[in-house]
Parts: sequence; structure tokens; C-alpha cells
Amino acid sequence: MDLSQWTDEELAAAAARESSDGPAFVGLVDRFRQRVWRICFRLLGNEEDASDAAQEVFLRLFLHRGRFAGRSKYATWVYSVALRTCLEMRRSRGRRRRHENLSAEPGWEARQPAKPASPPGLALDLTEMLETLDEEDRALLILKYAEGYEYDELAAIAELSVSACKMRISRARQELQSRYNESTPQNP
Amino acid sequence: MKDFLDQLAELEVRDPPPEFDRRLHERLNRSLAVQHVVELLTGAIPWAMLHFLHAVGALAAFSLTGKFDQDRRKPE
Repeated sequence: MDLSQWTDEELAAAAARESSDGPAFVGLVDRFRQRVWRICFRLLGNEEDASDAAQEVFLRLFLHRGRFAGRSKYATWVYSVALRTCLEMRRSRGRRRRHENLSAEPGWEARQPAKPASPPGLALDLTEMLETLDEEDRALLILKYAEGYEYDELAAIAELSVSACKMRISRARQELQSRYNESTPQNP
Repeated sequence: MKDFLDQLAELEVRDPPPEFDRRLHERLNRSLAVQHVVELLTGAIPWAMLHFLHAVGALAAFSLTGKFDQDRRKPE
């Protein structure tokens, strides 16, 4: 059976009829592995968490494979699940870190894994500045500027109206721009 | 002029680890196994218990009264 000619929606319908991870679901994983991985890696910032999140995304897609109603494109539904999963993971990770910080003994910070280094050429650590934003705004900015999603795609993924999506991105961008200008040395 | 946020696109995204598919498959299998155990515990076992107790009840009633409940065997 050649599944490569099938649309995403046809594959999803076939996967919904499978009782386990059969050829249709494996085909969907093959199609979306890279995109889901990129979203998870961008939003979570390290390989271990991204791997955990991407697996969780596909697990949710599998367990809820009968719920896709076809109101949007299947790809949008997948990215929306990926976004929500990453946001949940970041929130729970933040809560856990806060809890661990409170009960940490001296030297706790030194034992934590190092944050990924900024690539050479970045004037300052933009990723750290993004951490100061609201979680959803941060995710929208990353998907827009790092992954190149259009406003209408982002709006569908985040379940917002296009105007609300534009407004949130613009506001987050202005906030970040003002911080960026404050911390970047002015050219003479 | 280049947008300062365009720098985000310069951050390198590594490929998924090679064992990604295997780990996903294992996770799916674990989750399916849990789902089946839950279905067994909440569906199949209560159903079997109900029918077993029904028979035990009928036996007890027959032992105590000496009458066999004919209605139970009548088709609906």
C-alpha cells in the first residue's frame, strides 16, 4: 500500500481506524516528525526536553486520533497539539524548578545542566530575553520569527483570531525591542 | 536593516535523536498496555463478576427455597 500519495487528512482517517500504531499512523509520524521536533526544540531549548515533548505530542495524536474532526487542516491540528504540549511542559518545568530552588541546598545551581550557548554573532542572549515574556507570547514570537509561520497559520495553531494574534505578536515584539535597545550598546 | 528577531532563525536546530522512533514506539506500547488493563479492570472483569454473581444468587435462591426460578430461563 503506497501511502505517499495520500493527503494528511486521508492518512489521519485511516489511522483513526487502526487499533495500534499501524502503517497509517507510522506514515503520519514520518511526515510530521521533523516539524514537530523543530517546534518542540525551539520552544523548549534542549534536546532532552524536546525529545520528551515530541514523543508526548505523537502519543496524544495517537490516543486522540479519532477526535480530529476535519474543521482545520490536519497539519494545523498537529502543530496546535505540539504548541499546547510544549506550553504545558514549560509551565510544569517552571513550577518544578521553583519548587526545587526553594528546597535546594547550597551549590544547587552549580550542578544544573548548562544552558545552551548563544551562537556566535548574537549581540546578547535573545533567548534569555524571551524568557521574560509571557509563555504564549514567547511561543508565538519564536514560531513567527524562528520558524517562519504566517499570521493566519499561527492564529489557527494558537486558536486565536488573526487580529488577536497580530496584536499579541506586535505587543510582545515592542516589549522585547525596548529591552533589546536598553541592553544593546548604541553605535556612535 | 536586519530585524533583531531574525537572529532567532540563526539558532541551530539539531535533528531528532536516532532512537526517537524506537522510544516513541515503546511509549505507545506502554500506553496501549495501560489502556487495555484499564479496560479489563473497568469493563471485562465487572461484567464477568456480575454474571458469575447472578449465577451464585440463583443457586443460593434455589438452595434456600427449593424452587427453581423458571422465569430466568424464559426467553424475552
